[in-house]
Amino acid sequence: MQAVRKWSLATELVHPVVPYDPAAGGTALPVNLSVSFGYDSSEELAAAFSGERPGYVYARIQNPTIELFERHFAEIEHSVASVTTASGMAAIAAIVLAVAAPGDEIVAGTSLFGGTFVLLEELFGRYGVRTRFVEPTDPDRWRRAITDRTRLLFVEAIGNPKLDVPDIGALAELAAVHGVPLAVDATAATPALIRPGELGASLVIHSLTKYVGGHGAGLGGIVVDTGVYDWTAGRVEIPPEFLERYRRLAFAAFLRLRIQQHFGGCLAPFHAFLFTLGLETLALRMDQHCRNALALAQTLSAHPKVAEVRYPGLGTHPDHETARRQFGDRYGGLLTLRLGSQERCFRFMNRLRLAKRLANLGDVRTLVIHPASTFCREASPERAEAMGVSEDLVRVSVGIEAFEDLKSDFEQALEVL
Amino acid sequence: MQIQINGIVKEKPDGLTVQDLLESEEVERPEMVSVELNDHILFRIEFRERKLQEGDRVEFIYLMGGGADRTAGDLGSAVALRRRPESKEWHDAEEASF
Ligand SMILES: Cc1ncc(COP(=O)(O)O)c(C=O)c1O
Repeated sequence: MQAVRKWSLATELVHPVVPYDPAAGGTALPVNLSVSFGYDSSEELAAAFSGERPGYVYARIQNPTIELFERHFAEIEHSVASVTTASGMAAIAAIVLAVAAPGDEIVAGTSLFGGTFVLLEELFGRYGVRTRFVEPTDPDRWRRAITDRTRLLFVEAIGNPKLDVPDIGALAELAAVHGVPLAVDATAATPALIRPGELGASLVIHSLTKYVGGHGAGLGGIVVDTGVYDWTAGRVEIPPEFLERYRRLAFAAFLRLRIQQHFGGCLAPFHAFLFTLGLETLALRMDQHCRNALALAQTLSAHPKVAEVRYPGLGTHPDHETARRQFGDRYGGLLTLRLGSQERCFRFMNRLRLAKRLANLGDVRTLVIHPASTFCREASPERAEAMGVSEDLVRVSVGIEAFEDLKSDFEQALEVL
Repeated sequence: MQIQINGIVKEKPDGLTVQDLLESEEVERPEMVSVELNDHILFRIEFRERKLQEGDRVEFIYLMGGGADRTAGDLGSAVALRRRPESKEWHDAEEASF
């Protein structure tokens, strides 16, 4: 924040501040698959175990490959620390496990990804942590849902699949007033559109599985501590030993040395390597995802067989202004269409030749899915509405193909309607 | 000038940067250390630019090895102690209903 940043994201992505392989001069992240690390004497091993001397012990605690990746990712987010997890879901679970105990509460946006909703509502609900869901774009509703038990505010930078865009700065201000951390799941936006820490968010989450990888090969997640929240002075209770020893990094240390070590949802070193391959081209890919998505949204908006197109880049989107300001006039790769009925959606989707029918997003290929019959099929009608999901909705994760090819694929598929 | 390093006051030459300090203190695994300066974690790109001043408090922090205390047993009990005795009634704060 006060530091002078000389490079833009595209440069930062390909030049890690801490080089991956200074010994050999290699540019690729060396993959160290070792689970355990040996020492010449028992005294040294004991010192590494106690943390008296810096050193690796066991890969559930830390591993050289993972550590370099985390270091690099924290720098990309202009943040102080990051902790990787086995998946995006594991990242969200780890945060809640770290900040909340039975009786505590979370306030979260209504338009969260369905998996996150089930995790918060159903699973953490079972363990006595209650989540209050509020309309994400209205800060006043957040304010009214915060109680003295609130330990976390949680929102998505771009709601999936509602594609609503909350005002992160306003929520961060609210979080600061109440002394609670604000966590932003920025999976759909990526650091190319937003660094939530620069708007005052305390934690950032990514499912690395999506845009960061881009290849759709390997699950992963990450929690970033932006350095905004003072864990030594806020409402979240981090065990005093961690505060004493790790001070402003107490949360990252607790996450790594307690939650990850003992719940065990760690990222595999080889997957960290795969994500570095994706990360190098993230800025370039996001440019193309955003360009293609905007052009496709405009084309489909004008198409007589499409009832409605939702994309934050369209002037008709209710959060267009917030998105423009927050994301620097780029709007991501996700859009949704309404085609009148489930049957029409299926007919259209079945006719697509390039776009794949599958449950993922952020892949280099264009992907389509019908949320109501897939990842939202268990949602109650009220819940589905809050998620922006109707029977006739198709979500498109626009890939990086040549736009003309995508356009003709969508146009030929719409002809069957 | 005098600065405090991991709680110990030391005499250091004026104009020292954080990077110089890492070198003069022969900090282990300098590529992996995090540096807290007066209650703020520094970004790595600041190490070479940030000059230390009289009275600064510096902490070197690693997130690599073992736990937060002497034994896991100690910490286990500390964590257990922090559990709240009982959960409160839910407040009637506002939220969406599904
Ligand atoms: C916004 C968002 N967060 C989290 C996740 C979960 O990530 P993962 O599949 O890596 O567990 C997803 C997955 O679709 C997502 O879209």
